[in-house]
Amino acid sequence: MARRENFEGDSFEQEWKDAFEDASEQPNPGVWSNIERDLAYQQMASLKRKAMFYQWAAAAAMFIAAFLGINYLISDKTINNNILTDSNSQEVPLQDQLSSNEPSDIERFAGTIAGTIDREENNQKPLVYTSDVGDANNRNTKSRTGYFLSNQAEDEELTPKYLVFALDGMRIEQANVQYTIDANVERRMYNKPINGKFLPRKSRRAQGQEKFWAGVGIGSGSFDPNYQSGPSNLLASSLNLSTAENYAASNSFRIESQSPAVREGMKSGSTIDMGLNFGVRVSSNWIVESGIYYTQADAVTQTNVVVESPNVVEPIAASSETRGVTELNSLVGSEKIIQYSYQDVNFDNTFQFASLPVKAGFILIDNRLNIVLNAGIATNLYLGNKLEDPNSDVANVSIGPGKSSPYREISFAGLGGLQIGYALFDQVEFTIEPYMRQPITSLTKQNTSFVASPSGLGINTGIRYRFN
Amino acid sequence: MHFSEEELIKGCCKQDAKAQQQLYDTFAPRMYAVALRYTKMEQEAEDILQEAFLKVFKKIGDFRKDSSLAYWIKRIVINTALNHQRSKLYLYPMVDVNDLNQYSANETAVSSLSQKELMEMIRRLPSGCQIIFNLYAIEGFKHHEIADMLDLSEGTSKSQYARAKSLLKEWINESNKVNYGKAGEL
Repeated sequence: MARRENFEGDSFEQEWKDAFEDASEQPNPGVWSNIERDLAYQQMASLKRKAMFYQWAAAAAMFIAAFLGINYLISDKTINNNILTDSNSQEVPLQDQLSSNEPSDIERFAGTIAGTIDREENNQKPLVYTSDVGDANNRNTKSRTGYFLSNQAEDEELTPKYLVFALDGMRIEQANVQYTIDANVERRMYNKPINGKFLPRKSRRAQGQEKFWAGVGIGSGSFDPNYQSGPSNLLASSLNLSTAENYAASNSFRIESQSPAVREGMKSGSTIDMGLNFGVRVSSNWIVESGIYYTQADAVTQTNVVVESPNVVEPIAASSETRGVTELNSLVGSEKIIQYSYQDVNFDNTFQFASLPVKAGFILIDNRLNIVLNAGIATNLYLGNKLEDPNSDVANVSIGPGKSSPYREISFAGLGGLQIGYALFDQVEFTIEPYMRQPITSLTKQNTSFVASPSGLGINTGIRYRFN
Repeated sequence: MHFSEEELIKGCCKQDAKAQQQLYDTFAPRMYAVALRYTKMEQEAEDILQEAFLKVFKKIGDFRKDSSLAYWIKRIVINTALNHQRSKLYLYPMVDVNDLNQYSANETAVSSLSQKELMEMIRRLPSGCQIIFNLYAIEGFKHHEIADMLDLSEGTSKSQYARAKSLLKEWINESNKVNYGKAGEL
């Protein structure tokens, strides 16, 4: 720092300045290791933030897709229903059909609607014409409620071969057109409005022919334990001999920022699950689904403090998880001779659960290809947790359910997913479901020194058999 | 692979591990010496060095080249050290400069002592004196700048510096006497 103005004529300061001008001391090599590790943590945190962003983006995309799908189905239902009805309907003369279905409307309606489509439109041979029944003179006026289908347009005055229109009480009352129904209309269809809405077409499944199903499923996904632990929660902090305790007490900031002095964490991993599922259609649009799954979730538990006890052959990793095991904690606490040391330990951490999901699904598309928007709750029964050191340097730890376990025996998670199914055969269907899982309760007990509330994204696949 | 300073900066901006390590290898010894001057324990100096380099790697994109890279890193090390030591400053009563007996301006033979001996003397100073001596005598800051940096009065900075200077001269003289004595025995 060339700020010599302080020292003009003062040789004392100048001498000190000169003495330290090129001073250098080789730092402990461990400093770089710690920096490197912290940089890796930062990078991991950055990746985690990105992963979180993509998770939310995927969830948003799924939500938008579902919203658009519902919107599309609702707005397009009029056309689809009319056209679809055609395939199931008998060719009944319009007068008869109208009379049998809606006599009061028909009386006002019959003889007032016909299609007169000019040549310009005929030449384009449109399949669908939209007509406003309330305006006789303006053929181009669009209406949401009236549709003409035609496949012939040879004459200047077109007689629609297929006449499709939807009745709307309001429209009919306003209709004052002078069109006449041509006797040559071959097929006529209409859809009866009920309370101003059109009834959706009932599929075979909706008609009760395929009410129940059962199947098998397998899936995989990400597992983010969302692990949180304070420095005072380390097993090492219960040891009077441990300087880590003093360090942790006076340098909580550095501990939280994963100080090399005492640190621990749990890195994200993956899940696999397999099981049986079954469901029932409770209405034309809604299904309820449940099942039982075995789920295995993998993560990596990290710590750098190990404690040694004369009663235990191998060193014990001083993590919050091991402290959470009451017996182990009291064993270590009761020892007179304890040594601790810094040692990087990366445990393979395996959780096992039995999961009972209960989901309600709204059917968006119900054909050979069907799409269902699912939401529900999974009840997770904790089966056990194994901490295994792949290098066998420290003692492996198994944490089962029970009073001394830091983990709840039952925890709950929210589920949301978009299930896409395809009927391979009449009664056999393949399904694939991208899903998101968010914790409702933590996996850990309330009085435990650390918190784990797993979340994740994943994909389930399965085969279903539909019972007639 | 050896990076030029320009390449080092670019590499660190891209979080290239090799560039980060070379930057550390290049500057860490000098910066560790700086950190040692501001601390009393080596462990504390290592913590400062580590924290400072993490800041360097995080903020290197902000380096504007209006000073040398070494100077920029050194400022980060000093600021980190000050943050570490700031609380300790208030543990020591500050005496007004007017209450101090000014040490005579007799010249002391600083140059007759090794860098290691001088370092030990600096680290023996009370924390407040140590920081202000470093900032004033070695880094070259003025008292009003130090006062702003440490949120002290300018008078306190001067008094602490005078005290540090007084102690150091005393220790240097004692050390020189011992050395001369030893030389005489030979």
